[in-house]
Amino acid sequence: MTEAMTTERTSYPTLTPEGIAAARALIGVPLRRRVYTSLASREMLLRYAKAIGCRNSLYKDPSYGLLNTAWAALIGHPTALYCFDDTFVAPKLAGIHAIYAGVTFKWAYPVRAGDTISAEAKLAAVEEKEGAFCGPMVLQTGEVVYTNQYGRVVGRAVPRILRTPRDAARDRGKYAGISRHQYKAEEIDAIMRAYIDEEVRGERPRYWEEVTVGDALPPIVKGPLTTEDMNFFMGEVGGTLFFREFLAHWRRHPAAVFRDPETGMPDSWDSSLLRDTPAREFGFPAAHDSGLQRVAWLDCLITNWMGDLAFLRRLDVRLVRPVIHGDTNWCRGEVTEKRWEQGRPLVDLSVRCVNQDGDVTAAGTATVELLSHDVHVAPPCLIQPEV
Amino acid sequence: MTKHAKTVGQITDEGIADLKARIGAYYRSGPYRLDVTVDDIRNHATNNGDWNPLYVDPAYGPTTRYGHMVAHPTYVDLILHYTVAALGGLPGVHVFHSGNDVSFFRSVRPGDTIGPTYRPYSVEEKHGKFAGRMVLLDMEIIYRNQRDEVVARAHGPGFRVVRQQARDRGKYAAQRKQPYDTEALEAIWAAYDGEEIHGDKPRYWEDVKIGEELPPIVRGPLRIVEIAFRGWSGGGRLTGAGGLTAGAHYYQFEEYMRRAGYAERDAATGVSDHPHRGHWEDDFARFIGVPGAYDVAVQRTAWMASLVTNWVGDHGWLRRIWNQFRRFNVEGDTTWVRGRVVRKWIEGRQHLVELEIAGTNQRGEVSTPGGAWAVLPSKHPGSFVPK
Repeated sequence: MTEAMTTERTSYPTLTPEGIAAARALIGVPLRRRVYTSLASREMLLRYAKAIGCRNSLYKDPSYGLLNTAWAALIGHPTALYCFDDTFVAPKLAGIHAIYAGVTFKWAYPVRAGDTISAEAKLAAVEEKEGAFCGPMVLQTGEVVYTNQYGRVVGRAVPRILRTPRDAARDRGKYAGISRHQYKAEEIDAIMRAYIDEEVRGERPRYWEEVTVGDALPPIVKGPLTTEDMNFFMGEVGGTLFFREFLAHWRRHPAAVFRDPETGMPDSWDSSLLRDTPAREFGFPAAHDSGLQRVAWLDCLITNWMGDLAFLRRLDVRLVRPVIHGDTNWCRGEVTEKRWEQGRPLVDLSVRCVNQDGDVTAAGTATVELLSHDVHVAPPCLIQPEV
Repeated sequence: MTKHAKTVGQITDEGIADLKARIGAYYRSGPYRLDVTVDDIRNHATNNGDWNPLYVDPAYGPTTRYGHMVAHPTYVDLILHYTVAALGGLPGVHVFHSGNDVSFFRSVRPGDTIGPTYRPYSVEEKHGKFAGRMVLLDMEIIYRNQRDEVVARAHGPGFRVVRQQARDRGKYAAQRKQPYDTEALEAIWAAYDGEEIHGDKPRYWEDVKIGEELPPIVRGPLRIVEIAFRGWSGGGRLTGAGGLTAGAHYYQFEEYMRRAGYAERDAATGVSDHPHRGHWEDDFARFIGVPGAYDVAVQRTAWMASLVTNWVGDHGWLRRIWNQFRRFNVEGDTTWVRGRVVRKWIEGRQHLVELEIAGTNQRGEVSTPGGAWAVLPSKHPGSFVPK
């Protein structure tokens, strides 16, 4: 038996021109992806809704959408597309950490229970950037196209992933001072009240004509974030490699795994979603959320507000700050514009996640297609625009 | 190091009497899965480290005697978790799973709907080295498909102990996490690489000899993401709370409201979290007396089943598997599963073998002794192998 591994600080690879060039060489090349889900079964759509804490019967009830709405189907949450491809497009640059920085989703129409969705992912751009978190870093922009069994594109995602050298991030310690929030009983009570009072517009239509610029969306709360929340979300969206798959990955990319400083055991970086030690290796203060969850929570904020027959056309989210376990995020938004585009009634929204300390952790914009009092304007469920 | 509030339940005579009063009655429980899908079958197998094409490749099963893809036999655990955790009762009292005894009669295929019916089977009080006063429980589950055929029958005995008492006993005090060097990891990799799957060659009952050893398999080193992120596809919902009701965020809060004494509140942060988080949090594991984050034991039942299904091949059938969880399988542990033939006999048209199986960890401790029955094809005309 060997002695315990030294607990000296591990040194990780840094960005090199060759590494960046190798990443650029993949632009436009269809990437090989590990597929966890391709059939949008009733089961899977309902599980995803529960995995993001969705309260909307349209997505979480097996028969509501089918029997009560003109969709005449159980439809998926817009961000359920994450289950078919998690949009984490970060090829090459082994040993450089990858952090989800945001995404722009565009949807053509919903996924219906029974659909088969295939996804194709490519790297679209590689840019060198500079920031306070770790100094020089690389921004990889991807393109993911989701197609159903009829060959129709149901949605597109343009994800943005930051490649952040770990040593530099640790040295700069931008987030080092952050620790888990200690809740007073009144704070927990306020969260519980917010859960109990959560509003879902549901079957009462929200008409474009009745919306005013400046209208606030009823806020929703998601938190405090626990390991159980991570288990549900990661269990649904996938991405974890198990047993022989993980060891195969370690053999192919030895720089891409985290070695436990005490035992030398290789582990995947997604253990930082449960544990503080690996998180601190790349400059995060503690176990954290997956980033994708905040996009899903903002999806909930909007879909709660818009009503059963409206349609979320576009959601663009920028992740601004880490969300660690114990954080509570309040999702808020307002109507910023009302307009018509090619005869369709649209509203634009400004949305954000704000944590218990008042820090914005995610910010973005969205476009929703609503119903109209004008009887000549068809509802979104009868329209299939190209995306 | 977080401090855990003294929100522990106690084992009461009333609580025990309540469980005893339910012995004898069968309850119908909603299926945990509305639809068995190709994705779920594949993910269940790979989440347990099994890459047998029968369970992973939808194009393979149709070429076999089954005529269709089949699920790994332990898939039924996802329908209703075969452990007494699913019984409920004795709120706030921890539950440890002590073994399984599962019989398999028919295969599960994509498109099936599987419904479980369960009941408490036995309840008795005991005293043990591990934690003082405890209650031994067993439950029985019958799994039926949509044709009302019995697919499997399972026992999942366990014991209930007060969390604080468990911690105070210190049975595992001397145990430390396993260090891993490159040589040890290479040996594990070689075992994965060399894992034998018998496949489509018939293994005839007549050719099997008493004492014959099965090709061993390895699973490990166990990582917390392999315990935590298996979702509905790898290990079912760990809470045993029921069907599609639980989920993230609001649904956690709702479950804690509904089941008083169930949640564990962290005294330092005031955040309530799930009582089974000893599976991925070292702190909480030690609080309940375990040396570190520990596995969801049904995974070991799945591994032992894989040992047999690898060996019997496409023409054979795992008829029954039983085991006892003698030691915790802790993060960093690697389990070798080995077995040998100890008995041969004929029952009607079925030709059976009994196997003695054991899961042994890297410290040489037998963590999981057990056995299995398998039905093999015979050269005798008219022999029957279930499918």
